[in-house]
Amino acid sequence: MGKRYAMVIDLRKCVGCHACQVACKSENNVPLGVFRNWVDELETGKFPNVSRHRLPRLCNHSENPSCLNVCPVKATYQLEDGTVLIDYDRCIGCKYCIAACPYDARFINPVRKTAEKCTYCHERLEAGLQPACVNTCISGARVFGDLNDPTSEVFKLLATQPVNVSKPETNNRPQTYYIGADQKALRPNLLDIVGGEK
Amino acid sequence: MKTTRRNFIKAAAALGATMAISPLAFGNITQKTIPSWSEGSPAEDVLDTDPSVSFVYSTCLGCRSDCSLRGKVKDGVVIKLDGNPYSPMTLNDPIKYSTDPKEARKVAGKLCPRGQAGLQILYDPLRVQQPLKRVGKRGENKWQAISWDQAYKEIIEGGNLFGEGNVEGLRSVHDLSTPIDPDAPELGPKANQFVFLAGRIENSRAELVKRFVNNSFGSINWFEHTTVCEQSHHIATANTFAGKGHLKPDFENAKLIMNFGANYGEANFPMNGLSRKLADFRIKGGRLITVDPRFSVSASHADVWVPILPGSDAALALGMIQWIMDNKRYDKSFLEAPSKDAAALRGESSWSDATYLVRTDNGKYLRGDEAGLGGTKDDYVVLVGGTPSLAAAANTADLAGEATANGIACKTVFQLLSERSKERSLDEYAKICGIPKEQIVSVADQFSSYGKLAVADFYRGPVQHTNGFQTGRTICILNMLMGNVDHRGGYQSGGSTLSYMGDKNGKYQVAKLHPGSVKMKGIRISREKANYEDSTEFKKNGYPAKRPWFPLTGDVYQEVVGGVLDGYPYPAKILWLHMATPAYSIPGMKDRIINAFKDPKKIPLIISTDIVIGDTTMFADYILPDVTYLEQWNALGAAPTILGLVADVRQPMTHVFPQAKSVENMFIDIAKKMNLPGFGDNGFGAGMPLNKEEDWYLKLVANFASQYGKIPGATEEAQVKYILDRGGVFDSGGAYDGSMMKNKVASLCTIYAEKVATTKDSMTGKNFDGIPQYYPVRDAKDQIVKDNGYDFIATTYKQAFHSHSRTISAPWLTEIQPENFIEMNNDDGAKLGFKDGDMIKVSSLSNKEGVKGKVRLRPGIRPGVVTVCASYGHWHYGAIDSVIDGKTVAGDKRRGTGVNINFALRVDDSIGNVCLEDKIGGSCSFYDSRVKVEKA
Repeated sequence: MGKRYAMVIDLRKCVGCHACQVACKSENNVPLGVFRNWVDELETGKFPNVSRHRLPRLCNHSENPSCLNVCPVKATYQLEDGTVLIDYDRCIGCKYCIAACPYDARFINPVRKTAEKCTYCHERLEAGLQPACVNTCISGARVFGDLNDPTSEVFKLLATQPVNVSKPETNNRPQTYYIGADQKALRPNLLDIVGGEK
Repeated sequence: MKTTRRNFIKAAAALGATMAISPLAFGNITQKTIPSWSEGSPAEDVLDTDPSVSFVYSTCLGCRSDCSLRGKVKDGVVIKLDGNPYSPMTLNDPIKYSTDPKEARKVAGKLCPRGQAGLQILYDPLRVQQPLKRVGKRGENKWQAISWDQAYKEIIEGGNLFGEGNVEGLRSVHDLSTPIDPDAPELGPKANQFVFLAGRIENSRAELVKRFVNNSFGSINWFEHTTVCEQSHHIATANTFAGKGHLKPDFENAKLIMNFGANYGEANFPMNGLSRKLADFRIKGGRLITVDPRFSVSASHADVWVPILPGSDAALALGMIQWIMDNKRYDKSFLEAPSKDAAALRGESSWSDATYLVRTDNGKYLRGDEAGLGGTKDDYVVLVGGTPSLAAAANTADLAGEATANGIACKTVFQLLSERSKERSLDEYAKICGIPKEQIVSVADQFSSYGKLAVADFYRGPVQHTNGFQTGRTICILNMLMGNVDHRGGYQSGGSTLSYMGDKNGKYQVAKLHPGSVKMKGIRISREKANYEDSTEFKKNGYPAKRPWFPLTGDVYQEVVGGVLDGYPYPAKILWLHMATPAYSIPGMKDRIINAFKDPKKIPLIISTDIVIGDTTMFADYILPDVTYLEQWNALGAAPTILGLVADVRQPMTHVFPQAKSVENMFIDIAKKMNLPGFGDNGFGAGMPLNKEEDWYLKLVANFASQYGKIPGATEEAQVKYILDRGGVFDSGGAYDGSMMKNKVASLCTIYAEKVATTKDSMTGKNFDGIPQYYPVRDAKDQIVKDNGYDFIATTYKQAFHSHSRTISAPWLTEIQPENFIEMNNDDGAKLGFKDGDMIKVSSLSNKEGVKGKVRLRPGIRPGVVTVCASYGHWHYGAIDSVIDGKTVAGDKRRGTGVNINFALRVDDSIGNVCLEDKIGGSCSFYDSRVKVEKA
């Protein structure tokens, strides 16, 4: 069996430090103002009964990604291992994929003028390295690996821990699994829920 | 694969060569010279495994944590920063120390956002690149770029430097024989009028600069910043745990941690490792109680959030102490062992003074020679079955009790603590804390249900108060009652390090290698580590002193400034600021410091070392271009959270601007030009030069090798290289010794602080209290600060993605949160008619103009409290345009966003020119100011 990459994010461990976000910027030279991964935070409750919800966000590399078929030039494609990628030479910047993604994971790179998103740092995977965000996650909340490998950490976590995904109703079958997520936090934009400013 | 790599910014590839060799004129820094700056990164990245990149192992300084760092370098450009995989600072399971660095490429340690954004501080286009001398008046922000030769000449020789009359240089002030004041010779010689004030100055750099200031130049006035951080925490801890200033829970084995205002996952250091330890502690089922008026990251991960009013931590802890004593939930076995031997019989390595008798008349422990028991002045006295006995002769002694021994009335320490804790009822403590009494009982019950595996931890939150030292002591005593010191899963002194100064058995005992060393003399301008009673002023005027003296602490940052501003106890002639920004940092003092610094009559010469034109250094006469931490050397240890051996090295990854210079090299240059001892061709002794910083640091690294004793290599050079190739010496093993920690306090730990109890307060003439107490906010004259009509209490905090004054230049961090907010409880906001985002004003009685910022309403702030995260609200640091050589260098407005609430905080008007402060521990009060909150 081939590989099937997935990410598990254990929100019981996340401290909301944004190291993942900055590591991605540094690794992938993502321009200022746009993000391949980011962390949404939401505080709910009434003093003194308060909760904090954190949701690190990135492309879900879904099994059935809604960005794939809308691309008129076939710039978006999916590898055998599940990774969804963009051929920047083909991309014409039409933004159909951006509209189609239910997770706000895509944006137009203001320098290159093409669509862009998380690649799981695929070139790092090929060299035997972890994605930059996973590597740097200071609390160890992010775990990445091959779901088809029963010895992998992601396999073991999915086998032993209750997990959620964001927006299962879209039938995208997203491959970012959250441990300990609050249901209402699993929306693409937490602040939409409370009507705050992004 | 062309699709996944960011191969679209090719222009950056040649950057390294450009940066490394071309001396860039200040005004020319644009996107032409740093082409990829707008993308935030200096060059295109390359995989770690690519043979074209090399690695430099060093140490971070994105915050105070000193995490072990690895820089990826291509063509002289640092292109990415990661954690060092050899180090337990950045990985729970680091690679073996013997691993070949080639193999280590495949693994990287973890690094937080500010650590990674260090690249942007290194390649900041607004860095100072040449020595700058002011033209025009101080603070006009007009500069002339000058050569190092000119800078040195003017700083050393003085003269009519600014067309404002003669200014004394270092050479003239370097006078070791003329007293500052012949009528008060204790103040010391004129040389003391040179004052060096650092913000952050790392260990090993500190020693080199002290070598210059204290022992070559001969000024006693060398300072760093600790009271603006959390000095009272260190002083309280040291007064309880036998001089050890910093203990931490053993996160791996503790079962309950009660956290008083230590911001795990945000600020408390090492933030990187602590975040991991917190996460693992929680996953393993560890119970966490977080005490904080703000729903902090630690609170968000806690089982219980105790949102007390700022400054009431001592009331909470004393309430808990009362309940624990009443319910006999303390560790009786630990507390009643009066000596090392008695403790050893019980499997304890440390012991307590709980049973020791304290004299009612003079506050000293009763000694053996006074008790008529045939003992000596080194013997303590206890009660055994009510009868006085020498502590050393008893295996078990009475906890509670009072007695008259040899005619001297005494009580046991346990008795004194019990009485102190009962001075208020639990209802009264609950009212002070602003929480239900039931919550005090509940947390006391939970805390005392895990035996030695419950730890009370604290850091900055509870101690940056006027009652900070005493509060810190109450928290330490909670640990004493649990008997958890030195225990696996208890409160512990952490991993070990190696003495970089070679003090123990190092090859180079560097401090001693100082021919012609000068012995500094006199009174520090901050009046620290000295008794007012020894001064001529006291003999003339008695109490109170003009400004407080600080016999029990050091590095009283705000009082260095207060002393300089007041010219008390003597005026300063030269002030050297290094990585320091007192106007930005010291609560309430911004405008007062700026106004004073603008006046050359008050401070004739201000020299600064900075990497940018800073918020305070813009008022200096000279800004000397410092290097960043990625271009520096250091030899360092680790915080006690990290177990095992950590001896870190910081070494330069690159050197971006040729004219920038480390402060070490500046002082070496100046010493040589002034012919001061301890520097130059024979600086360490005949044939042992100290001509450049490497002469210093390579000896320090060699000391690591000689003390560790297990570094491969036949020669010193080979061993040093081995260490540098790994960024230090790391050995994670052997943290435990059975049920105990391997590193132990293993000493008498004290509930009673005898030294404190026998020291007088220079402002009142009364003794300080040796048993900790709660008291409300007080000024230097012990008057309670009420400020009626100012109904909120202002506090500050630090986020995980900013540090102090020095990260606003990193766009990766500012884009996380482009501005900050004045945060308050949503119900409080609603009562005042505020909507999220409204502009509001916060002011105090002593800063009525206050500060303005956008309000953020949230449930996670205790009602009655407003808080603002630090790092925003800059007025310079590159935020505004500067004029250099007549040309305008455009500022970056993004650095000037948000608000710094420090400027609105309370000044101690009873003495002026200082914030409210803790007279024992010396800490600045950041969390006591009563403020008014209104629509702007």
